[in-house]
Amino acid sequence: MTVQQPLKDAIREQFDETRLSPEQLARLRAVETTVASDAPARPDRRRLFAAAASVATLAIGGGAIWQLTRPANRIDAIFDDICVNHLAQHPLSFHASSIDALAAAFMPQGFMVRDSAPLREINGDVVGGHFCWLLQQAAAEIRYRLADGHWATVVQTAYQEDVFGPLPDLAQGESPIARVLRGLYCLVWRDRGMVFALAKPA
Amino acid sequence: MPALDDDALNRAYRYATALCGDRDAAMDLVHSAYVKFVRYDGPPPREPLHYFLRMIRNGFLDERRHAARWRWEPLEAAEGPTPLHAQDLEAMQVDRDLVTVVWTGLSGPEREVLFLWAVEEHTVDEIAAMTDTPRGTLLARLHRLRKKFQRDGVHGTLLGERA
Repeated sequence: MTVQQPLKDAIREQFDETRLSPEQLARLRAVETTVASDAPARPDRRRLFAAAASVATLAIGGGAIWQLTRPANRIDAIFDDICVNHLAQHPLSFHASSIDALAAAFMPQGFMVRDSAPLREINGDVVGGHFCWLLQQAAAEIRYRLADGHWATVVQTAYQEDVFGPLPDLAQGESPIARVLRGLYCLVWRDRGMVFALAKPA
Repeated sequence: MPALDDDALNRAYRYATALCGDRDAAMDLVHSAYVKFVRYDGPPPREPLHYFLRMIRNGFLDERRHAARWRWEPLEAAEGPTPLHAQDLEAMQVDRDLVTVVWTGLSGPEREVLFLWAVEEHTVDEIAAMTDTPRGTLLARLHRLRKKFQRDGVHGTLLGERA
């Protein structure tokens, strides 16, 4: 006689007994000790050499390629980051129902959360925010609950042209760049010294 | 990098087991990844465990880069099999004993997506982001998995199948 059960439960049971033995755990804990004792006696000097080698390599080989490719790649990377942030749905650090309230929450951490015209076209309510990254720059993420029950994500941080490249500036009458990718409708723009990226279900 | 606790290491071991399909290989993978993890002295990642899981995945891909079993079959999304919702799999009733048999015949990518969905309880969108795999590719993979379970004798009730 066969026992029928949901596929998910059956797969979970496959892993119920899969855990590290005490010996295996000890082996991994030993890694922590070994690596600590293997640390170089003069780590700063070693790091200095490594950093110098990295800089030289970048200067010689990477500079030209970077200059040739980065404008398009940066835009792509911004869109990629906003999609990842939206899909990750990390736990919120702050709960607030408005941009102003959220700005007050972020302010002590050194972030100035700003409003921008496209944000007012999001058909939803602010529910909170947390810290995230946009092109490796620390950024504020604001999450909206949309009228249809889905979520929208806005990431904003200080605009740096050498990091983000040229972006449409609302102050110049330009419109945000729009793309649909990973099932999301995304916008990227800059406004009053800030860069904004928005993602919501397409 | 701060050490991971036992629970995190066990989660990582289960993930490695899903990838490798073999516990000894999984332990070797976790061990080599943990050496790199402990030695890492760059900016602290936001989520150390997720960072460690990614190191495990990268280590696995490095080892299997040229292995035939880890071919991504890029046409699977383009060919457009019937789209599948994760709920379709949720509704599937299976024979418990046969799952073990079917599991051993699955490829690394197939075991990975099932593990992340069933054990870690990630959504398809989350798995797509974690594994850098297009959502359509994952849905196609899930579709093929369901057919594989059915073909190998596991009975799907198809309660969630779309018209």
